[in-house]
Amino acid sequence: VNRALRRLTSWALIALLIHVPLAVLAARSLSSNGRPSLEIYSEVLSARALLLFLGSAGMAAASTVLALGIGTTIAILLETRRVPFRPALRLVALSPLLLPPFMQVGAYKPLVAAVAAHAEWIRFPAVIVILGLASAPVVFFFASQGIRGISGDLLDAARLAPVSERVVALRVILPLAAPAIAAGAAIAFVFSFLEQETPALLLVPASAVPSYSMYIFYQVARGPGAAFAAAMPMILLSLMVVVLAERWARRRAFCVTATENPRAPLPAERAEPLALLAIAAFAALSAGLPVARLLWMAGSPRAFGRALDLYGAELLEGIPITLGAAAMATALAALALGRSGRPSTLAAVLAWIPLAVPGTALGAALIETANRPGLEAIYESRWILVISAVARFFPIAYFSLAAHLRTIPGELWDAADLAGPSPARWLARVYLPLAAPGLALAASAVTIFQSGEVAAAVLLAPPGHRPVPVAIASELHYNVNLDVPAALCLFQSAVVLMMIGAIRIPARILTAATRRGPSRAASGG
Amino acid sequence: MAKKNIHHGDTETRRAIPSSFIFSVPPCLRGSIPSVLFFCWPLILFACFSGCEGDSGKPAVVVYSSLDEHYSKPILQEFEKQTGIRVLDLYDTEADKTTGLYLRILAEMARPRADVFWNSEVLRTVQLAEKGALAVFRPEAAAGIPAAFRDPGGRWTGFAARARVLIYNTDLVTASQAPRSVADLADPRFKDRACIAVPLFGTTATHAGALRAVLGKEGMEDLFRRFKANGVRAVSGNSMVRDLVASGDLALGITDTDDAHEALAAGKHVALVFPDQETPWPGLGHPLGTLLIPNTASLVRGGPNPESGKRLIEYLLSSEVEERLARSGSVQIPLRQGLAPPPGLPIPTPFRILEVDASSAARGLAEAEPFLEEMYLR
Repeated sequence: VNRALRRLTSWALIALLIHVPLAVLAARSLSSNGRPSLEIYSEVLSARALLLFLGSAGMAAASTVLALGIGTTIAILLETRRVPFRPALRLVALSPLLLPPFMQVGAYKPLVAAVAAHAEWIRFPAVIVILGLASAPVVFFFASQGIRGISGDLLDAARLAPVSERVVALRVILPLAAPAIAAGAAIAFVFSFLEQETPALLLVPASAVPSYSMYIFYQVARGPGAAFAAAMPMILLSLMVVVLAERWARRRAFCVTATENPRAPLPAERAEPLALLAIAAFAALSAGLPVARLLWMAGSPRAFGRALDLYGAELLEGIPITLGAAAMATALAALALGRSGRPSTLAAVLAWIPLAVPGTALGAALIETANRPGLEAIYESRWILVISAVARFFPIAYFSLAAHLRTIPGELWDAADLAGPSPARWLARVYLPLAAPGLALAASAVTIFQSGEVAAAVLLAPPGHRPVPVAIASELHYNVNLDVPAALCLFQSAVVLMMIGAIRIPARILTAATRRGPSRAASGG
Repeated sequence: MAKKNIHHGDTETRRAIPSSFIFSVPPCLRGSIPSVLFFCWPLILFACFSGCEGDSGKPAVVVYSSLDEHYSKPILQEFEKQTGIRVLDLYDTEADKTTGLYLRILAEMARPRADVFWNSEVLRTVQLAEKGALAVFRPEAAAGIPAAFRDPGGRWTGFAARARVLIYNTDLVTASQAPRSVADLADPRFKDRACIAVPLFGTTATHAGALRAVLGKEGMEDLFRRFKANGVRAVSGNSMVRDLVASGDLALGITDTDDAHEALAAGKHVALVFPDQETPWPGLGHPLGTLLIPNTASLVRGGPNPESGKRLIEYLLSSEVEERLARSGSVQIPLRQGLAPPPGLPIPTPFRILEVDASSAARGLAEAEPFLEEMYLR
């Protein structure tokens, strides 16, 4: 009963921060001139809007399939084969997330232009490939987490059978990691769907530009309620991906991951040159090329100096805001999930919605809920940026942490209960050490995504404060030479890396100490 | 009983579990509070940091500006220096199609936090005025501004304008082939080689609204249909028009003077043309003229510091600010007679302006929207 009450309280808090503003948006979308009306939805459901939606959804789906293929393959190769420098390679695979899509596209643009001179049709597939490559790290992130959560014993048993590693991957690893991979795929889909600069920059034929995301922007200008209604098809589609994946996994009884052995899956005995080659190619394409391009764009040390002169203070100011948001989103995710890594379908749906709502619409809803007497200390300070980041990226923290919690064997929680620790001791000495890697993962993910958030930040930044992603967006618009924005992007990436390091170090200390514990006990130490 | 033991634990049960299993945290973390603090340090850091936000106690003014920070901040700093009034500034971005601050003012209408809205264009200001978000204020400094750039109702005043210009790549288009009119985008010699921003946002929407007001329904719709038939690309913003032309991906586009000037100043192989200065527009009997889009300064209704806001508006409308904006990288064209035009901007003399008032352009856009949606959102 206590646990249920605690869960209920935590969801009430989450609802207050996240769902109440969204409910305000939903209410606005159902009224016109102060009277109940379905006028906005009738427009969203018009043939023109739906055709636009289908076109954009098709392109996003194609790039998501590609991202799934690349991200999952790399995750399987990296996590189940003998690969040197595995942690470093994980970071390399994730590093493209630190760069805005504009910069990533910039890296491939000359190549696409050269090919398009002979074959104009190449532009459309190029958009799909580039969006797929840009989204692949998101899928990789979740697939890697899902695979690392698979029971080592289960994999060992599968490998005893006279089948190849490919069959083990297809028949055992993929199904077990399916829910985590589906969460990654849904996020990749949303990001690909909302990306409108890439097709425009690559001069995709006019029929494909503008995209549905431009339609959403158009509705944003009409009002947040209209934007919410315009985003509704996307919300429903991405929810369907998450829910169907969860249900499919449950029906196939793949939920054994909740009670598995704590031992991580061991890599296969053989080191495969092909695996190493694939990882190296992915790293070069997804991280090496964009970073090299950024360095080339920055050009000289003077650009870095100017970027620091102009935006040094903002870079520093962004650190506590991002870390505060990451800590708060992770804490809320921890409260909502408790010790279970398997949210109910309703919880998964509730957790998922905010990510698919346009940032501008969410920002306007937060203004409406937070700009009132008694809340000045929040609305007129940087706290509002923290809250907006929490509201926007809570789903990422939630699903990242859930993926880790699934890997903790239930016996450990039961054993800890036998000792009857007080709530404070349970938190400090049982929950935190066991959940530390997942908490760090969730906080790192929020840090990465918050570091590129512009839409809500523009609306909610207190006067006198300028978030770095907003400064980058502004520089990209006004600075034709792009040397300062390129340098600023690299600085921002370095700051994000430092923040992730600062988040992961305490988690590593606690995890290492926890791992030492049982081994000392077994040896009588 | 057994259940009770399991849940609450007794001494025997506690001893049965290896203590190192549960209580295996580093010595420095022994005890609940340090461990929790260890994990909560980001929040603590943030709390300390936000506690440092000081208020100097000076009078203040909150200004929302959609003109780029590079150009507007020095002016606001100068105002702060001259008056001692602390300026709390906030800026918009192209990423939000510069609707961010407009939306914020609307969302804050019940409890406004801004005193002054400095908009880099006029259409959104007109819409805010129509929605009742702006206060009536007739600044003395507005006396030198032509009446066409002032709201008859006194809710906003225009100053320092950008122009909608043609930008072309000089490697791809020779001077003799250079475009002279916005209608040249529909010329077969530029087939599949021209671009505009989607005319549903920003200054391109204002341009479409103005064309609708001046050319009428048939004239405007015919022009945009010819654009489409000639393969004119619709891209997501004016800066992208500039970049695509500057990089040589496309030959020609319509953009704003500040965007075009950025490319010129960066040494890109581009040139800009103030369109429709000589050739009469079919059906009008005279050249159409170039559209000027002024900045607008307006007092937000119910803002927290109205007196400081009024002082800032008086300052923004001064000759000094118009001159500064003309000399800055945003090369804004002064609206007052007798002030020097921006250096390096090839403003023709005589300079024919597309004559349309902001309210008509706003109405024109509202009327044109269904057509433009049909053309560009499908």
